[in-house]
Amino acid sequence: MDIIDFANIPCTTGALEYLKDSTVGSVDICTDVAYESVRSTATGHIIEALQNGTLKYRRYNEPAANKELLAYPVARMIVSSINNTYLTKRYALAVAKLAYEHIMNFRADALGELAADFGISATVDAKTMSATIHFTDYIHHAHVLHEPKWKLSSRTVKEGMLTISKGDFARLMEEVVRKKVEFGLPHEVPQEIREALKQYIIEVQEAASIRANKQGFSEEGFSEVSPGCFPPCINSAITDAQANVNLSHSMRFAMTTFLLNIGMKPEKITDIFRASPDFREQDTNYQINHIGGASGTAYTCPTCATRTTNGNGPGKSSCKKIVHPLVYYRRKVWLENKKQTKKVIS
Amino acid sequence: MSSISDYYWHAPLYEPPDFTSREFGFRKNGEKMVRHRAFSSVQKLRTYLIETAPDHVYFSSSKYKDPAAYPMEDKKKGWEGADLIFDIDFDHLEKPTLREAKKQSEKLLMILEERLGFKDILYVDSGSRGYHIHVYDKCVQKLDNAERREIADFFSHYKMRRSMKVINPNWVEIDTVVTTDFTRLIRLPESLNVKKDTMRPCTILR
Repeated sequence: MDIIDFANIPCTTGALEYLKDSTVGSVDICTDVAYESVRSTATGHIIEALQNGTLKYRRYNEPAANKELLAYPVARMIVSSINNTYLTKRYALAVAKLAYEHIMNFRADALGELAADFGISATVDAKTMSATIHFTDYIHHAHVLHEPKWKLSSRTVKEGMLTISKGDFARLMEEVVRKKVEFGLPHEVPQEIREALKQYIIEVQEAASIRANKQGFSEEGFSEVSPGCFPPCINSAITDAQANVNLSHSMRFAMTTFLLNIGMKPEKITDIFRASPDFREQDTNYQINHIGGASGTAYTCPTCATRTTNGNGPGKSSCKKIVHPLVYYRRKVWLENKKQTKKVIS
Repeated sequence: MSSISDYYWHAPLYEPPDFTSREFGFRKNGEKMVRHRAFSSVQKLRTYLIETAPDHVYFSSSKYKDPAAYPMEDKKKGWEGADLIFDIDFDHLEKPTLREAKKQSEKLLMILEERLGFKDILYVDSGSRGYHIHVYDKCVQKLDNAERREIADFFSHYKMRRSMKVINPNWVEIDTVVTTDFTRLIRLPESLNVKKDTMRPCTILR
């Protein structure tokens, strides 16, 4: 891999070594007037990531690639100084998407080299460009991808190995890049560097605030419980509980964690279980309080994938792109609020 | 000496890999489980078993820096990896017979070896309702819950093919929670499974 590859995939070991060997120190990049354009490039990338969710793929010559690579640690310092989870994730995703485009132009040997850099042993067929990897390496990165084709059961595995197309392999590498970029963020930024980057930090903060207003997201919890916004699986569990149907242990756990997570009072949850055939008030109260964190650990509602594995996922079409019941609820509440606001304005 | 103590006096005791990093748990029927115990040698475990004569002996599929640490959160901080465990209980099967459990466990074993390529496997008769399979291969040790869930789903009843739900040829009725949750304890091979009227050892089949 060369400097052009490093500029497009800046989280490789090679890129980090290149930066380490470079004569430019991290304080110089952030303070020296000679590197003003590097700082502007870094700021531009973060704002582009925020606005578009991706970075435009450009073909660089060597000096331009060098500047791009130098901009990477500066961008990390700006993102760290702001310390906003949404911004961090959005930036990491955009860098990863850029890497994907670059990887799609790789030849077999470069693909193998990149995988090895990421700790994955891959054999890439020069003719078909398909990659053969161990299935544990595959699930390590593919388990967060939700299309059915990424399930291990959708792949042909033989003696622990599976073969995937170049496009799928590049998508897996994109996932590795996303995790690597996100890893360690936010990191400590010395006060003098924070001061030197002040104008860039403000610029990104402003862009982030505009973006947040557009999205209508807030970091606050749910102010009140809106039963009309519950996901179908929780609705059906509540209906079953109230209709005297005995729920499985995992379903009770999912329903209770969900209701506690959205702020429902424990007494109200006890009332839902009251019609269950095996209802015992004292035990139910104890279990709800335990799940709510009485013994030190407050539990979060399991993801849809966990619940499907446990046989509790209803798989309704309205849930297709939802990975977590709380995400469903949050979106539904947001949509409802938006509808209400529109009504008030008109 | 009780017959349980007598058994542990003579029985070959199974020593899981990284023995000293394992948590042990014990139960007498009807009593609360005693957990968070660790032993520096198999001989010390044997002494404990002879003295306390438990009805059930369990060990953690996980390895910990301090296996006796409590609460669990403290133990998890020193997590060093976990074996991959499969459990087939006949009373959870569509056709609930011990024969069917045996058939399914043999199918599972074949898939684990031929498809997933595992080499270091222990196949055990649980001494009661089914079969346990322990996978000790290095590649599984650091898998997290979500990754273990992917493996559990590899054996699910259905899978998707071109947007169609089809029967999964690898379908085996495993207890998915046992495979995904590596903080659980599993019955110690060669230990006794004592029920009200019966007492059978958890036998290593291969």
